[in-house]
Amino acid sequence: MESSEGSFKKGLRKLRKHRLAVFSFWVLLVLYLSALFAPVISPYHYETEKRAFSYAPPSRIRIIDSEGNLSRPFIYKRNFQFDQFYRRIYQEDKSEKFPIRFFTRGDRYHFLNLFETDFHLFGVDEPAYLNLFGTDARGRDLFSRVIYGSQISLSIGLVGVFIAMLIGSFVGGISGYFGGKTDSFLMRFAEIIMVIPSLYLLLSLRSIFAYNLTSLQMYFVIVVIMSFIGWPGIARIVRGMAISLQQREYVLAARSLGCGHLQIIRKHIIPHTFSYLIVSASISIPGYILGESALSLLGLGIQDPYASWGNLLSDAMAIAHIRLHPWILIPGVFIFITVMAFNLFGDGLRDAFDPRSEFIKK
Amino acid sequence: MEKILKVEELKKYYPVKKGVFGRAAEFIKAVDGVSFSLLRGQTLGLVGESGCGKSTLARTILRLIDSDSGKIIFKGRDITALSHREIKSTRKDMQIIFQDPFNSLDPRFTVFGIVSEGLRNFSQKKSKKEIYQKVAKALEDVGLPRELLSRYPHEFSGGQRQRISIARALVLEPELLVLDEPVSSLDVSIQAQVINLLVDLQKKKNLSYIFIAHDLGIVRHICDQVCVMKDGKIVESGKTEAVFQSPGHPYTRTLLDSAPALPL
Ligand SMILES: Nc1ncnc2c1ncn2[C@@H]1O[C@H](COP(=O)(O)OP(=O)(O)OP(=O)(O)O)[C@@H](O)[C@H]1O
Ligand SMILES: [Mg+2]
Repeated sequence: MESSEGSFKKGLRKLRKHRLAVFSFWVLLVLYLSALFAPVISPYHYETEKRAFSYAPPSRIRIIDSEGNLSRPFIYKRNFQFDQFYRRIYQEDKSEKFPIRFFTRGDRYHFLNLFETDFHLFGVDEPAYLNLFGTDARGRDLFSRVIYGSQISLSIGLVGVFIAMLIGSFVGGISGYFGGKTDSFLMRFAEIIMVIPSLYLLLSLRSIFAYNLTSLQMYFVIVVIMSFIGWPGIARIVRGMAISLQQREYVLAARSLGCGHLQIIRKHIIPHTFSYLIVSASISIPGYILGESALSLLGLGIQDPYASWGNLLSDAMAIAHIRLHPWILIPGVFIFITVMAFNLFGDGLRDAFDPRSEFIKK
Repeated sequence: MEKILKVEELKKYYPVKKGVFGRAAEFIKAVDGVSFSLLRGQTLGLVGESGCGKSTLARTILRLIDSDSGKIIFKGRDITALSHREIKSTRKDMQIIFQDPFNSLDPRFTVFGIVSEGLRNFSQKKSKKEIYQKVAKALEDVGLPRELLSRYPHEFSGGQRQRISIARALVLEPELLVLDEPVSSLDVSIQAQVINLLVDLQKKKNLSYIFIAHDLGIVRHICDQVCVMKDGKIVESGKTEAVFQSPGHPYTRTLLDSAPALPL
């Protein structure tokens, strides 16, 4: 009989060999850390707008100045002229260099609600405007908004999955443990939710709630909707495990030790499904991120001036915009990278820990 | 002597085949009208071939499974009529040891967690220290040092696990202990140790046992009464020596003939 601790270590070793999973793990770590430190990393506040810089392309960072000398990284200030269609054409003013400064001061912000500061990882002096990813229609720095947006987009996945798992494992546990009519009723209900295409479900659920909500309310509405869509899948799998766990003798023993049914489900059934839950969480988080993006993209989720990857992308809904300002697709790249990383990492976890093997053996 | 347990016409059928309208069309008669009684401080042996319904009977008596009909009178009270809420207080007095030591301890709990679970359920008022003392005492009673309290089940051998199971039951100070083939999955040398432990504990605490077994040698050694079970029914019962000396039912005879003579 193998120890649970031993198999955990073995799983970790297997996971480390899974190159893509390890790489994805680091990608995710970087993304989540930058979400946590968003105000520090982004050179501007997400609301800072400079109308004069509407749809400015990404700044060119140079290390060779106009005289051909090597220099520390710098950018030029930009001015614009209108062309014959009244489109802005940005040109660099090469008379003055604006070096990129590290550990500098800029817009003030509250860090994690703890203290107020104006410390930024990097930035440039006024009047130059550093836009790594260009700007949007109102001249807001897209890089800063993407980084701020990751706070919403990335956390919604975690929070949503967490709630869906609480509900899913509870319902699945009850269903599998009691069986019979309870089981049929709960599972039919879960299946009804599962067979409705999730986009329609998403939109119809969204229509239950008021349109104009504060951003915090909106965040919770999205989480509630997403976990409502997500729990049935989890419940079905936990149910399957609960059916097999419920026949183990330690469950009967717990019964004769005076445990109630719910206590048994909580203490002796659900904890045995944790390894599955963790793997399935990492695989299903992308769905939550995409769901938030879909809602916000359609203007039903996070609203301006707050940024999420979905509502940043809503700028890219018009083909003309994409042709003229291709950089507004960058938030989509972030969504893609995150979704891929979660999928690859989840695959690695599944291969390494193979949580269902415990059930196949018996 | 007082009758601690009296079982009357107990039945438990499992539906097997589903008919057209989801109604059960056929049943396995796992327990089919079983009656017997057990005196305090005595051991009742329950023998029979695999699948004859011994485990089902044991679980039904403890109300881990609900019976279909019949009466279970424990300490003068019919417990088949009790609701799930009312049964809780009786549970403390009747405990069970399972067949498979690898399946009867939750691998996620430490020995302390396993043995203390019942205490925490039944006596919420007890302080942590009291619970610890009782658990440690129960562990020492079954011959395991208290240093093992923080270990996990996978660190133990089958025999040690069975001792942990016994400690888990005994810490509640039950009066009736149902032993569902407690040693059949253990090595012969370990079997004797565990059996001797059970006999000692019975004497010390005046426990009543229902001892389920394949092995007739052990039954003869420790049981006062014996019931022979076949296809859910008791086909023969009586004082152990009487049944072994002059078996009445042909099935008992075949059981006795096929039993290997085990020295104990
Ligand atoms: N949950 C169940 N559903 C349907 N049939 C069951 C169930 N549990 C047991 N049975 C059937 O009831 C009969 C009696 O099983 P039981 O486990 O009581 O036998 P047993 O005498 O303990 O056997 P063993 O000596 O192998 O432990 C068997 O035919 C078994 O297949
Ligand atoms: Mg059995």
